[in-house]
Amino acid sequence: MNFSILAANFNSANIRGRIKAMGENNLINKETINYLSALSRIKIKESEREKLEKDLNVVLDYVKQLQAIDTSGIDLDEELLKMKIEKKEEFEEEKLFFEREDLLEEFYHRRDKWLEIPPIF
Amino acid sequence: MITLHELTIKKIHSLLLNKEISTFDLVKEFFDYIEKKDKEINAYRSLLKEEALGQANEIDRKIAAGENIPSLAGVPLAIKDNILIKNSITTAGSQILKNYKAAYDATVITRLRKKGAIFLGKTNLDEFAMGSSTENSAFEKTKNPLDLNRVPGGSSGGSAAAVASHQAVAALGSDTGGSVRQPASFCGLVGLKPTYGAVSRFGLIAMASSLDQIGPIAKNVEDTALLLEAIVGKDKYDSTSEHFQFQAQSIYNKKDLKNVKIGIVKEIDIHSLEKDLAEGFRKSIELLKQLGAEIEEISLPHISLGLACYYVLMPAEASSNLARFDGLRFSPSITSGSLEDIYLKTRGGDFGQEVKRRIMLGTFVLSSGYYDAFYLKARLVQVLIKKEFEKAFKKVNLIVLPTTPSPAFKFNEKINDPLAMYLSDIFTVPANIAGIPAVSLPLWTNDKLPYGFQLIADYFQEALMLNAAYLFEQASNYGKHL
Repeated sequence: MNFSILAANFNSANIRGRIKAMGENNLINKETINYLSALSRIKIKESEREKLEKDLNVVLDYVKQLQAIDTSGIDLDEELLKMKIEKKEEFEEEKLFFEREDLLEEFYHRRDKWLEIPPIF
Repeated sequence: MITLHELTIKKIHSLLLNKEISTFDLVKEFFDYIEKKDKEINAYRSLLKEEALGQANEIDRKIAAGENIPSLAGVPLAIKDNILIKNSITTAGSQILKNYKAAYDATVITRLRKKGAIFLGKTNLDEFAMGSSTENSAFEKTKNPLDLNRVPGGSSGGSAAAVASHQAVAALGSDTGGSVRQPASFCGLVGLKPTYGAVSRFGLIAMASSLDQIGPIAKNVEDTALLLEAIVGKDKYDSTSEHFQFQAQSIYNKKDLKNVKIGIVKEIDIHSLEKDLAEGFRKSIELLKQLGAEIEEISLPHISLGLACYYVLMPAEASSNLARFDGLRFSPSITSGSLEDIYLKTRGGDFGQEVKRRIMLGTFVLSSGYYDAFYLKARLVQVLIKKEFEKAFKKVNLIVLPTTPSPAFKFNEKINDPLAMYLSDIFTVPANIAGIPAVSLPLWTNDKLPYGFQLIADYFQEALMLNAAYLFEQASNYGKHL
């Protein structure tokens, strides 16, 4: 599967127009399923396709009602600034934690404390 | 001979202190019962018998030596199988983790261990906690102990079924959109979702990190409070956890609800609910009034959009969180092929239908061109809903809602219609979207199947919320049904 060609096809469509016309058109079709399958690295069997396409369209059709809500008064940046971020501390603690031997045992192949993967070239 | 049906955390504590029973015998009794009973219910995925009996002996040794024992000493608990217990197989209900042995304890487990709690086993759930019936588990179907033809709810269905069938005194579940409260309601139990950040998520297999919270499922409010007390607080391994303390004793603070204002939501038309639920809900409000509460109408204009918001934000986060299941870590089963083959085959073959659906949905709403229209818009509406709750809590102390629109439904009733399944979360999702605490209490309207009555509070107001819940429980005397 060639991810970049699929991505190009997907983006070349008139996405803005498609969102505007969402009432009439289904957003998910065969092509979209291929694209999402590639992006999410999930192989979709032929037998799953039809139902998946239908289910995704039903859910998107339901959540689409959000588009009609006036959120012009909401400033997301302001909300994000209210959050306390202590990521640095957490990562430093976890770094010590996650080099523990028993975590490495669950790897596909391990070499020392590293995960060894099949060659990618 | 002890009657497992009548055991509560407090009762166990006094039985052990008075040496009326040994911890070993108590735990052994539970396993003997589980071995018979769970053939019918299928609440447990795996049992931790050897470890549990070892823990029990240790507590007996302490009691014999006259040492102090902590509040949860010898209390047999069931743990949802997406919460890590070191060296136990932790599947999260998925084929992709069927061989995964947890390498460490979740923080909630570490904290419960310190208090002496005993873990009987890991309970069944919808795969990666995605579902409202436990039918999405890659393994067995869990049955509702109140009616074996019906689902126990989900996603913490195994935890609720274990407690309702007396195969554990209480349990832990996780709640992302109602997964503790909805199964508690379906099984006639108390289920609590704490304020986001009250309980550490370290060692909980993440679905939607900004919404997930671990919470207790128990037979009464007292036990719920004792478990909450044990698991809350800041954790250095979870940066979103807060320095929050909760005293179980605080549920006895007030003897009535005088000066407590309770809000009923104007936008939810009680007459549109199922007849029995509408009637039960109205009576519950009467009961709160009798306890001295002042009832006030409040407005949450966008509350019904919580569900639409949720089905954008949750899949978006899940698609990112579940990217870690790459077929290379966590005891993978495929051991050859190219990297891309391993990814595609493992994830295509071992993820179930609902998980694939949500990952794809999440991938879609985050994809180029659709991000603003879906993900960003849902974040904005989420803030709108949060602000509406904040405004409401300036007027009232608590808000009441039903937990679910219907009682436990039958197997296969909704499994092929994802939207119908999702709609069963309509009343539970708003608390997750806003990050506020909520507790579901059993609402028996006839002798058949219970509904749930939900109390919702402002951030970190668990003490007031559970105090009110306790008073409601004492006045309604619902415990008699189990």
